[in-house]
Amino acid sequence: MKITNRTPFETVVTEFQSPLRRYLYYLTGGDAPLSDDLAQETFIKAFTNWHTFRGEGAKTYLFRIAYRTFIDATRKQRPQTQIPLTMESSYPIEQFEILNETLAPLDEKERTLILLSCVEQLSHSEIVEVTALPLGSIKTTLRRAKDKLKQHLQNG
Amino acid sequence: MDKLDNIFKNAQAEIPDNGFTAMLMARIEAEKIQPDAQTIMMLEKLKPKRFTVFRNVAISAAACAAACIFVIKSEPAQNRIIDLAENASAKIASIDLKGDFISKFNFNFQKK
Repeated sequence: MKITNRTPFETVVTEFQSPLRRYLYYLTGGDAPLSDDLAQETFIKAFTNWHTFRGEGAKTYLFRIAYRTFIDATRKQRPQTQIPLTMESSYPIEQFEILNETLAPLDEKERTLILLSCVEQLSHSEIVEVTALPLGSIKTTLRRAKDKLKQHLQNG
Repeated sequence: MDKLDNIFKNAQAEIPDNGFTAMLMARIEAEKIQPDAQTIMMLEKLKPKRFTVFRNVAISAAACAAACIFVIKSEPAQNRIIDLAENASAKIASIDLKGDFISKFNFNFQKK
């Protein structure tokens, strides 16, 4: 489906909620409530600026906002939940935890690039758009991260 | 396919919507209403709680919606938000959104 700034925003959310929440879940190291907070913030920011969306890749557009939202959130102190609320997670936690454990030896940059490239299947040029990192740095970091992961799996 | 590729493939599982879209749209709907001074005061009081007391995404959407329902005088706007909040609530099997709010904050969720 071709997404433009005339596409109803609800359709955009329905289309991209799963990859965006999944990406944030892994970025936060498996914190589902925080992932949903960040996903909600991402969509609110996208909605506010939706008139500026020019019809380039919507996934890249949303992931760029999500990445910045995550970076901003990690710089702030993590808020504490004051009232415990029980709500069944919609995340397939057991399935997701395998990757979370696999990514454990990676630093934040390596983790981000592996997620964008190997899980979300973004091209190198799309990853440049999302992270604003230089292409050379992305390629080098990805190569190093994959070597680390292979080593980690062999040792495990 | 090597082990690593297999892990990546399994990690691409879809996350069911489970009311996420409906809750987000409820919050957007609530936030885009032009608030009067009283509404702003009410929302300002709730805002810090959205990520502390109401960290849960369902609750944050409903908190915002509830604030608008509570203070906005326009009945069509109230009813639109109630519909959205009810829609969101209905999609979450494991939490009684309205009951939670009514019991904790005495918000009036009755459609006029």
